[in-house]
Amino acid sequence: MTAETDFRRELIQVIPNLRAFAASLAGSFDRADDLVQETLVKAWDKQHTFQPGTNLKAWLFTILRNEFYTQMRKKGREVQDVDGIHAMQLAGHPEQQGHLDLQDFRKALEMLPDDQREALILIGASGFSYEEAAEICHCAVGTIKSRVSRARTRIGQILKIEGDGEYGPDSIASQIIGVAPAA
Amino acid sequence: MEESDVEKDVREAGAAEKKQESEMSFALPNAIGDRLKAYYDDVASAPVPDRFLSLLEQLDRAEEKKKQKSDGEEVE
Repeated sequence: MTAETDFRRELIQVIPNLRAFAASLAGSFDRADDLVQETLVKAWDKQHTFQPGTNLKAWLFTILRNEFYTQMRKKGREVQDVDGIHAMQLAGHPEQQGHLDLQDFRKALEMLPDDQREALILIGASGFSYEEAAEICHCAVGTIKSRVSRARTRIGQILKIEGDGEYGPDSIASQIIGVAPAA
Repeated sequence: MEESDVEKDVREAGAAEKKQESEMSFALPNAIGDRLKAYYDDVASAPVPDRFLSLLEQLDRAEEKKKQKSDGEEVE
């Protein structure tokens, strides 16, 4: 009984991260929370398959991601796009007036291919290592590295960050070359 | 056994290098990395909605009941 209560408490701790990851995948807050709900139910049902002491957060992210792509395959791509547009409109709610910068960033993120966006989020925001991200996405470490590099370059282009003078194109290019050695 | 200064230097240099490597893996240009964090934390810093807390409570309770029931059956 104690073990279950612990499991519940640990699940609750990961929920904020699950929501943020789900929002980046799904593009709308409503869909994100539905995704989190399904993830929690699935995780609960198969909690006996989780090995205590291993990374619960990565385990939950894997379930959520699988759930998302399963739904995508069922519903088709159009639904997602409609939701994406909806999310952009949602992003303009009044509390975020001070975050114009954030809105631009959100839009730029929306323009990335799904695989690049999720790699960027997992590495740059969720705090996973390349190895963990590769496991979550069922791909090679080198694949994650190149997706992050491409995502970063693309975001930089969209937001014209390379034109700030703060980061010249050469400095971005050299960082990418420097950061993306063969896995 | 105490390690010599040279050994210690070598070990620390190795550790520093490793640390740098692992930091490199997160080395998004700050202009992008900071925005990415802000975007993510915008959602991640929100309190956990009640719907999830009550969902987990229900799941926990259902499990508990199931267990008590099966325990009871074993006794009988």
